[in-house]
Amino acid sequence: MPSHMGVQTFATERNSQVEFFVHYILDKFFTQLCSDGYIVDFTISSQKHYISEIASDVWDHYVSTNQLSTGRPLQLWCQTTCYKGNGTGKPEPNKTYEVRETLVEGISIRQLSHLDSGTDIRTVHFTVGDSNYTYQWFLGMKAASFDKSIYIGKRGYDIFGILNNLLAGAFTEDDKYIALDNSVDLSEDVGIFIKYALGELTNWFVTDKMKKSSIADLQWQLVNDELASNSANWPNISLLNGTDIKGRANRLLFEENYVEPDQLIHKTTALLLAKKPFLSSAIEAVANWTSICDQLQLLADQSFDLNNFILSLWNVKPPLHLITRRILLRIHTDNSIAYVQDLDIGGISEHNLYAGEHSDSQSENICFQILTNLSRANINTVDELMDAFTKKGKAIINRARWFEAKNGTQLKPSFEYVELALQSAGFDVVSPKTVSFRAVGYHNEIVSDNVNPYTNLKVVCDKNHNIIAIIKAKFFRVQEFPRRCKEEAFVGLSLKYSFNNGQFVPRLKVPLIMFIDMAGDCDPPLHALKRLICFGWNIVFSIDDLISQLNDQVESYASCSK
Amino acid sequence: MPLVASDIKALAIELFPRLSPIISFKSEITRSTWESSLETGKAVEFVSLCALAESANRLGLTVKVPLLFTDNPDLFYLRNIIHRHHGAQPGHEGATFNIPLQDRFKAALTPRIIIELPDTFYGVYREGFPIHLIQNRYLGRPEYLDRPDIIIIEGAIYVSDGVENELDFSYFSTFGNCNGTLRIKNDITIPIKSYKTDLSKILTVGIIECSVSKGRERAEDQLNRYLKTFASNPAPATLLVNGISKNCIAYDYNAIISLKNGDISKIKHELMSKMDMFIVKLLKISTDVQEYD
Repeated sequence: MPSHMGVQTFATERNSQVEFFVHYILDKFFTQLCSDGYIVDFTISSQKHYISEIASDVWDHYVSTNQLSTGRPLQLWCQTTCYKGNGTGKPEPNKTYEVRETLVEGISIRQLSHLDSGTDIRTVHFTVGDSNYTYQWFLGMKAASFDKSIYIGKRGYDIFGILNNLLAGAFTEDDKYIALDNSVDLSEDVGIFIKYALGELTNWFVTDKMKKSSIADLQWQLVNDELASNSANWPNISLLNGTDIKGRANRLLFEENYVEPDQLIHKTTALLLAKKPFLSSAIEAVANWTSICDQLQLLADQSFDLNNFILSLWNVKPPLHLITRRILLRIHTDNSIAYVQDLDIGGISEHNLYAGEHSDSQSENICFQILTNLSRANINTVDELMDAFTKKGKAIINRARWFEAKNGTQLKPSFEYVELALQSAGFDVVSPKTVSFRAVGYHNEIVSDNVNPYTNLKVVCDKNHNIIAIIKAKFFRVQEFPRRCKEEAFVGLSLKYSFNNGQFVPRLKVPLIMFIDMAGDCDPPLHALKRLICFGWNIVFSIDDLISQLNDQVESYASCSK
Repeated sequence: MPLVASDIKALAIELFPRLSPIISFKSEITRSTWESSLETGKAVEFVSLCALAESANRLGLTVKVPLLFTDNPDLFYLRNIIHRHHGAQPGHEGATFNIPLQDRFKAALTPRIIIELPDTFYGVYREGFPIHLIQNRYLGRPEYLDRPDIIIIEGAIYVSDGVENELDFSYFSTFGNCNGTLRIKNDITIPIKSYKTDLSKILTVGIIECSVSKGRERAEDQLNRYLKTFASNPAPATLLVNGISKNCIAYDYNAIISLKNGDISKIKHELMSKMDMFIVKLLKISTDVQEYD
């Protein structure tokens, strides 16, 4: 069954090789420091767990050593981010989440220096790949959140393919070391990158005396202050109950006999279906599959060859195109398909692939790729494709419907519900633009590159049009809780403060509130919740709590203005 | 009345009392064997292991349980597979049951039971033998997924802590030796730091497959896959322990243990009588091998 998850396996193989590559660089670096007399001995480990009150993060590499000059121990914590690039030449949108997590990890670990003043703690970030495929603001923010940033790669160069050629043939790590040593000795491309990275690290260590990032320390200070002011008020996890708006909405949509007494859930699902026409098309198509096949057979009969048939299926009259396009992209394989943006066609993204109107050349391009895939699967005629549609199409649509109901960037039942509930309670929920609130994080002020405003935030106003809160509502699955909290942590901190003349200053006059929707039996990890709070969010788990906080805000606003 | 896992647990202790502290140990991982439905197959696997140990005992062979498991009973319940990271898992997760990675690696390499013979050892492993996989990969052969529930391999393996985050291992057998170092790491490939080998082959002397409900055809296909991956000349002794009455003649022996009708003494008799025959054949294989040398 074609899915999107298999791509993760390729990514992990690549990441594993890069992890080893960075390990090699660190090993060479510290070995040299040893022989030059800067340090005594060292150990390198991978996947080092950093655990604190607000963090439970895995760091790609960790080096522990002792400095000869000062006698002080040194800990070097390192993270690596890979950019594989793609044919469109644009940054990967999904990467935003990983980027935010990395920055939050970099800020959170700075607590170590405060807890252990007898040890020198430093952080290093490695970017491997083509740094042009990252949002450019990330490059500046990395430098502002880690003590040292190192870039390994260059524009248009497939470093991962080259690394794979070098390392895949080697069985043991010892063999891999020999391969990389050879690459250095022969001044091959990878060897040159290694020398460059070693040069950067040496410069930073020796010449710059392991200079710390002052902005990173300032960011930590913000978090530390929040930690201090909230430490008496942590939520009591045993008293928390998830509202499970997302779960209940899904059940109402897909389970025949599910009874939902809350009318707002019904209103939410109605909104969902309106926003995601594929869901209702899919439900209908699966129920009337024979009749769909009859319609498609008519198209088949009118097609003079396979290419023509594919094109007419692709451009069939809406809403049937939502069905046919999904099937066309999956029908050739039972294995995972590449991520949508890997179609490498300009102007085509996951947002418009299935629903959008495409230009002639875009349609032709897509259909050509489909034709190629079909021929590899021995589907070469109109009849063969029609046969495949009839036999496999229904199952494909069923699974796509399941997958897209649970994932996908446009469906936000939790937020829809919260908005409806607040409106019922007499509040106005509007977009930031409406009240001229520019929802851009402080990284816009730190870097010179373009930073897009955050989406998925809303502003709550009272009946007198006073802004009383900024809110976000989302569903947190228990398995992803820590990661989601990390991503949102960066949003929180960067919204709550602004950066001016080298200092961070509070920016918001109203609270930033995160409505956490989760399953009824979900037990969120406390450190993740604490991180959210320490990075600037007020968190609530129920509509009642949310409304109560908002009412407190209204009252304090009213008493201030008296 | 159908049997439940606790009935099989009691039988396991009766057959090989030396494993009693490990069988009776209470933890999340032991509960997943002894307090789950028999359908998981774990309890049947465990009791088969006990039956094998007892058969060896009865023949006067020295049977040992590695100290690793006396100190840490949970490890006995793990498979002899080096823990690996898989794609589609966010970040580096996979520490189920909260067992430290170092211990998982040790458990992966260590046999659950050791049977001593005059001039060699047999290691009894659960669902894999990492040295075999490492040797296979060293020879450029692909990874395999099919692994018998219980596999008995000639040779002795020693595992010791290396420098930090490393584990050293050595394997000695009639057909050569190997040694190496593993890095204790959650990785997608086997995190092997170094490896030296002069093994001409790894001798599998016995395969036991345990099932609660396997049909004949499926059992035969599966056995063929096992033999293709693990077996060399001569072929190992094979035993199928099946919870339903379906004989698979591809196996040398079939122990049909009817879990539905609840007669534990019949099960004990059937299991032990077939295991006794199995182990006799297994020992005969090894003797023949010595003569080839």
